[in-house]
Amino acid sequence: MTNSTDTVQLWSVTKQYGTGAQAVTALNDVTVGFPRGTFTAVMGPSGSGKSTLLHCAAGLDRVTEGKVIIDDTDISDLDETRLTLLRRSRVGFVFQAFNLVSALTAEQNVALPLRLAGRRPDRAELTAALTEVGLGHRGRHRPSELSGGEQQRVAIARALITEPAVLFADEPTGALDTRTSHDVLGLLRGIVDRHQQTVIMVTHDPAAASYADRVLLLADGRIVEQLHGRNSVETIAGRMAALEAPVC
Amino acid sequence: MLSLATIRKRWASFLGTFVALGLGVTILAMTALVLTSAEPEVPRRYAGTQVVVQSPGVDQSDGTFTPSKPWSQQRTAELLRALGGVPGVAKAVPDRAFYAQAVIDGKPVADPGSELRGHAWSSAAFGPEQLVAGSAPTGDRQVVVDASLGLAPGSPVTLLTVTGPAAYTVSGTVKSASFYVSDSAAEALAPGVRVIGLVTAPGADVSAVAGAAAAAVGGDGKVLHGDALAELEAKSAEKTRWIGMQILIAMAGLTAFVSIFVVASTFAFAIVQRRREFGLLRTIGATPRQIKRMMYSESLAVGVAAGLTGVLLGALLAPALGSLMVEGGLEPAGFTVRFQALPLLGSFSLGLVVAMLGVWSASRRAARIAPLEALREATVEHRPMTRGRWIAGGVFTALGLGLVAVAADSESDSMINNALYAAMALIVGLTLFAPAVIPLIVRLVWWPLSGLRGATSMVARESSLTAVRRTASTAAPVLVTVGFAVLIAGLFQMKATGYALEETVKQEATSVVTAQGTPGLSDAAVAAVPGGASLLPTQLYAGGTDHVGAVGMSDTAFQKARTRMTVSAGSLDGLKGENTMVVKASTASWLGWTTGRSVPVTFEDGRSVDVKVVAEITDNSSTSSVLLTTGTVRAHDPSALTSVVYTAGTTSPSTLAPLGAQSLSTAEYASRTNSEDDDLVQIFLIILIGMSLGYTCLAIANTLLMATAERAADFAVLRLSGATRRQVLRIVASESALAVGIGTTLGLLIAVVTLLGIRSGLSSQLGTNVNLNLPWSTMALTIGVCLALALVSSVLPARMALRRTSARVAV
Repeated sequence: MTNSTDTVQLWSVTKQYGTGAQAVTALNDVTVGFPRGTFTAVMGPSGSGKSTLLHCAAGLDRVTEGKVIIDDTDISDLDETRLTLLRRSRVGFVFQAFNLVSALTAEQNVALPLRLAGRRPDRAELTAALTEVGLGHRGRHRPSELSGGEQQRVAIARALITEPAVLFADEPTGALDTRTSHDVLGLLRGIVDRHQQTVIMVTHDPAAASYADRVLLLADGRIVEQLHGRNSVETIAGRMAALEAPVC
Repeated sequence: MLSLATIRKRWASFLGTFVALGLGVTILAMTALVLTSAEPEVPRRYAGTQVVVQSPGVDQSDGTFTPSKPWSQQRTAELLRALGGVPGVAKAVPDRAFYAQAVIDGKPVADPGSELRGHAWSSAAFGPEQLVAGSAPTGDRQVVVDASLGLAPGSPVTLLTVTGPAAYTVSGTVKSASFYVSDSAAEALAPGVRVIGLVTAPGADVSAVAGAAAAAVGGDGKVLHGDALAELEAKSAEKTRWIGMQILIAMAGLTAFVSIFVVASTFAFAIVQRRREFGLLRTIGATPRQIKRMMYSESLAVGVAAGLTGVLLGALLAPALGSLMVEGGLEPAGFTVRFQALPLLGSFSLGLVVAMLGVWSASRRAARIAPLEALREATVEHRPMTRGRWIAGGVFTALGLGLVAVAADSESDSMINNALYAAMALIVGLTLFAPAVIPLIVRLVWWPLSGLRGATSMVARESSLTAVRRTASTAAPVLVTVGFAVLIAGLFQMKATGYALEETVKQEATSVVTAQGTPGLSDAAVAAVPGGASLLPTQLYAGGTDHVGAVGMSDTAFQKARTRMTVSAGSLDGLKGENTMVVKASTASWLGWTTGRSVPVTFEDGRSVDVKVVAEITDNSSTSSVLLTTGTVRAHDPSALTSVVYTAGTTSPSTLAPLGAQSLSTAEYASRTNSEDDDLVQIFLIILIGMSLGYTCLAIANTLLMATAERAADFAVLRLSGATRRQVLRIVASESALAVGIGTTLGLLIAVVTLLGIRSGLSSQLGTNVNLNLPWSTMALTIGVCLALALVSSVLPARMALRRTSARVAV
């Protein structure tokens, strides 16, 4: 299920928490690839391992077995600092909430990854990034002065400023209302279409997953189904309901 | 960019650090300026002399600041001949100094300090002193006095000397507080010579003269020139300065320690609150090193701002501290603060170092935060005791206990500071153990209340247990304050219960005659008290640099004192006439002055005489090492002044006043000496306790303000679960009280351990029992203030938070 040209590759990845009798297997021998320029939604009931998949694929968490390759680099052998540097240059993140440093303005938040890399960002670059997400005029505002949807857009702009190989999104619309969710997801979709950006998103919301090119369904640490192409909300919801139904 | 922005945004959490550091640097700058200003200076009397020979110094390790061992009359004459022959020396002049005071309008003119003010006229060459009017003194009854006394040449003046008041005629006046008599008159009044000034010939090479003089003197003295002339400073001034220095050092040490403590615990607490932010930064590509650097630059920015403020304030306040020290008798009169760049620069840098040290452990912890932390919602602390923490805690506790032993073994003057250092190490040790110790103490403190079923007690206990950091941050400053306050107050309340000589001598006495406006009582004053029991202290010089304090006892005094003495060898009856002595057992074994021997002793007049040891007494019998008759002391120490006379009779004040003496009832005398001691103790206590209390206010308020603001959500949940506003406030109050209880328990533990160690040390040093009284009033006051502070600074912000949330929470 994976190809050596894919931007992100997971090869036989197993992740266990704890040891001995208390060990919990969150991912069980998962092999999957995420091709360049695709938008993948990862779904599953709670406890299915969807967040663990994202953390392992993004190098936020170490795998117990198997290997993870991001943009041709095997991250299993990297030490903490190298991993951080890889994340900084090749990976972007958007979370459900608490995405922004509250002490900094939107523009400063977007500039943060560049500054951490020791680069002095130029004004035009930052304005362009904010304009891309439709916030070109709000660069001087602090997070507390922005709405939830606007904060997520700033987070997306920040994630994209380093032109990463892959953008990970963990329930990016979890804290937003329907209309705002629609805007944010449309924005992600647009980035994939226009810039061939690879996006991997974890969600429990079928409506959000309907924006993706492919939906991965997880249960008990394994990929149980893949829905290729754009799917309707109803299809996805149906599959999810089947997964969550108690097994008799 | 990020650091500054963070400081702007989170100013509340940096405010505590800023104030703690600013205050710390202020106190450091102030003390450093005063300390560096308090350098010895060449006494003005010697201003015009470039080379001086001083008699051999004696051992100073007993902390009594004993002046150098005087030369005898004969030895002085030999030295004068030898030094007079040194090329380049125009004249070698001995400094014969003696006690003298003018009596004007029936009262001795008060003398700042207790220096000897009488001198031989030949030593006026040291200044050189210029006559303002009149001529040099001749004969036995002429004197040159300070022009400011308003006496014209030719007018009569009464001079008070060791023997008593005597009539002199003013022959001339000078512009200094000295009394000059003729050389022959001075020779009769002065003890052995300690200083010989060399008046150099014009154009003589000073260092060549000094070298030649050193060769001429050999081992029997020390040649001073250049900066070394500052060693001529009177020992009494040196002692005053030394005591002042001890207090300043204690202040500076305590300040540095408490500021590091407050800054470190503030940063440590801030880390917990900013966990998610650091996690986010790690996720988007901040390396652990960058997180560390960020924390350091935040700390640096606050440190620089606080340091500059502190240095400025310190420089402004230093003169005030200086004059306070002079007023409190902790610096010699005439002390002024000199502004120097180095101490200010030093305090500023020290402030930065404190800021860096404070952030050190916090930044290490921040750097270890994993990127995933940004995704976790709960703020449950999971800080188990790491191995490093156990080890460091153990090391500091062991160090503290070791320092207690050192303090217990040190001289009484440095004991207080050593005890403070010991307590500091113990505090650091216990704080490191806090995560392990606090849950234990919470359960212990709460155990008696476990019968209470209320929700208040449950929530308060559980949240204290979960938020160990917050509990520790509140408890820590309380621990420091209670620990130091009880320790310092307890140290001063320790009293030897052995028989002080004065205690035994005062038996049956109803009144006490002591000096008033004079450094001691003249013979005439003692004679004015019929049947008095008097004590005449002096100094004995044994071989080498050894020396020992001795007391000449009048017959009456001795008869009373001996009733409480235990003789271990010889007989007390032998103490009579001249050149006999009774020696305390420990002194006898130290100097080899065993009963029956006649040992050579050098007295204040520089002469060496064989004195017979007639008896040895146990160490418990007397606080004085050597007992002599007043006759022996007077024969060999022409400058000794009687300290006190006890009598059963009464002496009229009009007789005593012109003699510089006063009569007090024994009760009055006891309360006066006590209150004089107490005054110094009070100053010291107020300074130190006030300082740590100040920091406590700061730390407690800071922690609780930071914590309570963040807990608004918790409060809202409590309110939604049906808690009334009053109940929530009661929970907050209980938590604060619990934290104060923990701090108090640990602080008392540290203070009591240190005090017990010192008591056992003192007991074995003095060979007597030492009482340990806990300073209950200080303790109650300190704990009360801490509790009040903690309650105010937690309940008030909680009330405000509740008012805000209640607007949002529909109840």
